[in-house]
Amino acid sequence: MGEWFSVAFWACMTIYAVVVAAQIFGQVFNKPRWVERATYGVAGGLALHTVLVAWRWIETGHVPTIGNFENGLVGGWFIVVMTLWAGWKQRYPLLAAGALPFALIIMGGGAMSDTSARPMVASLQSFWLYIHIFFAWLAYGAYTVSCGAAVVYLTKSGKNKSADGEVLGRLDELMFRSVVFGFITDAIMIASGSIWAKNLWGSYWSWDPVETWSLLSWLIYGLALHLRITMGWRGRKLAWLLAFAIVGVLVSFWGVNLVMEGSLHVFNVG
Amino acid sequence: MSIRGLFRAFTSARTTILLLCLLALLLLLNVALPQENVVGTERFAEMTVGRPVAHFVLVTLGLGRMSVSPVFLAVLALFLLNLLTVLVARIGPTWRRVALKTRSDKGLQAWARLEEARSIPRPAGWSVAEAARALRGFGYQVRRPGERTLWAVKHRTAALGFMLFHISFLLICAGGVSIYYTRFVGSAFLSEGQQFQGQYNKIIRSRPIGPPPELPVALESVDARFDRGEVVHLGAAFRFQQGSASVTRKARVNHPAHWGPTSLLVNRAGLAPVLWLQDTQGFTLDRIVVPARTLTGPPTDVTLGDGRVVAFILPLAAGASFPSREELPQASMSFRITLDSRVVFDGALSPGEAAEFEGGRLVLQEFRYWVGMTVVSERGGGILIAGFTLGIIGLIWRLLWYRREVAVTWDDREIRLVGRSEYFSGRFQDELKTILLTLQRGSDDDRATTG
Repeated sequence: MGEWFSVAFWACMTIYAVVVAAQIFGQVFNKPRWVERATYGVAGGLALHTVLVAWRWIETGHVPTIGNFENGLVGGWFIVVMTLWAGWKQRYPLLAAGALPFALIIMGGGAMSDTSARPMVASLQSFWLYIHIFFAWLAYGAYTVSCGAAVVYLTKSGKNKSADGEVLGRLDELMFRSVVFGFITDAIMIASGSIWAKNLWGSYWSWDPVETWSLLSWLIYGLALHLRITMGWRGRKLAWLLAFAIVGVLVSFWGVNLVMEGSLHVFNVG
Repeated sequence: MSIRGLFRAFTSARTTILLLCLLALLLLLNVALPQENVVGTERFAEMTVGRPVAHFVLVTLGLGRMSVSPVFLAVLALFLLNLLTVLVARIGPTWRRVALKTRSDKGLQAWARLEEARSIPRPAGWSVAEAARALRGFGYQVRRPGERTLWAVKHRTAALGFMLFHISFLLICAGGVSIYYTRFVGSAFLSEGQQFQGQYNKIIRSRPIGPPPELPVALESVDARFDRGEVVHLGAAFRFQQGSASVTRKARVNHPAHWGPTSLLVNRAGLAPVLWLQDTQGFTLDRIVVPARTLTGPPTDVTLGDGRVVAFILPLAAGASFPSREELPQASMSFRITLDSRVVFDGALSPGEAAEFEGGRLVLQEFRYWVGMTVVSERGGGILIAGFTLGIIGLIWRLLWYRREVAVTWDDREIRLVGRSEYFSGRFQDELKTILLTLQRGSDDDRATTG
């Protein structure tokens, strides 16, 4: 990445980091105004983040979808948008402290990999790619929000805490809604990826490690939905499950790196 | 346990959750343990031969070939059986819910007493017809089971979404089985102008039922473009023979050419030198088109004539660009030629040039392009896609158009509203508040217009 792009990128990261720190500080030292005002920081960071996505798009001439850096950049953008939206809708700004660290992780991790602009290789020139990754970002964003809500729920509830029942109710519903949204979009992501794989590799499903992790993540969230709907799991039990379920998503996201040798998700042709 | 008891146990939510957990565990093992399809057959063999524990886990239990292991297939079969029995068990309740069988007035009155009802004073001039119209405005279907009771349901067909979602798994499974038994995969190389005559480089998977597919195809042309060493476009035109006529179909990466149930996926390309082996009098002894490794890899070797002459074709120099069609006549590749294992030529050749050696010469007539392709033939993909589509529709139907029902009861003094939704209770409570406001405002509006 260029020098100015690099400056803007790290400025954006810094804003998000400061927001998370401010919200944690506000929560721990009971300064609700810190938590609320930090939300403006998320909005400011998002504006800069949007400029970065557009910048990269113009620079490379294609939607930023190639490599860990571009995926982290756009995936992080989706997480921030969905966190901001959910926090605003639920009137619960503290959500950013739970969800934004994941955006920081994937963006920071992406920045550690090769950030040079690369041409759109033939294997990625497919309409199905856009469907696949768009729904992947939506799903991962929603799962991150559910995890953020779960973490906040766990910190606010407990035996020795007198949490506001209405706040916990809203968080509980947000966890469930985010999982429903993520589960549906994840299903579309897997199905569209499967159709794309048929065109690219000739097989709908290859038991590739990345595919298997995605299916595993989907299954875990399906399990969470089942437990909620049929067994009445809510509150802390569901929150614990969702707080850990994000691990599967993170492994799916970084799975390409972990299993580079064995995975088809490398997209080289020639 | 009686058959009915077994059926009940099998249709319980706990059984489904247990099977989902088992499937998740096996998928976890799938990525945690080395899989033959990922590490390759040779490396997999190295990992298991002479290692009793690894052999037992990966081969005997089949966990190194998870997708076809008896354990995985057994759990999958149980899961599908569970889906099937749940589907059967839910037919009756689903039908009753979808058919909107009106609930008894007594039951609704009891419900209104049991749950926390919202109430407003009954305004003068309040009418049942107006209340029913207000509920319909919110998308509810309204019934009047009693003199002082309205019962309304929104998204009564939501339960069908559940059925669709579960049926979709069965369809996906049926598609998978069909593909398993009809799938053939082979890889081949074709040079421009070459007719395919079943010369697979490698048969990756033979179909359990039936022979390899008939493929009357020839490669017309290849279009490969590289940018900074990466393929940014790779396409090919194939000519399929259909009786006495021929049909040209184009393929490129991500867009295979289709011929019935067979797909041709192009995935590699390179230069194919056309070589003529001639004797000292100029008579042609052999003619061959060689799909040569062009950008990377070891030299491509080819034996000519009676086997005494071997030509080694070296890839282009590192950093060299892949020649476009216009550049082909001027392009060159390095050749090392041996005669009876003795190097007799080592140098670059361009089209029209020849490597002279004792007893003959090797002419590079021209460069063509070759393409590497994967031939896939299978049936059942349509069922699989239908399963995906049905599953997504079912999910949306079930989870977004969730069922909600409300009861409005009244007496001379007040109107009470109770309701329940399958989920999203917070949002539903907001909806109940709005309904109640509308019921009240509707009455006010009525009074305003009539009064």
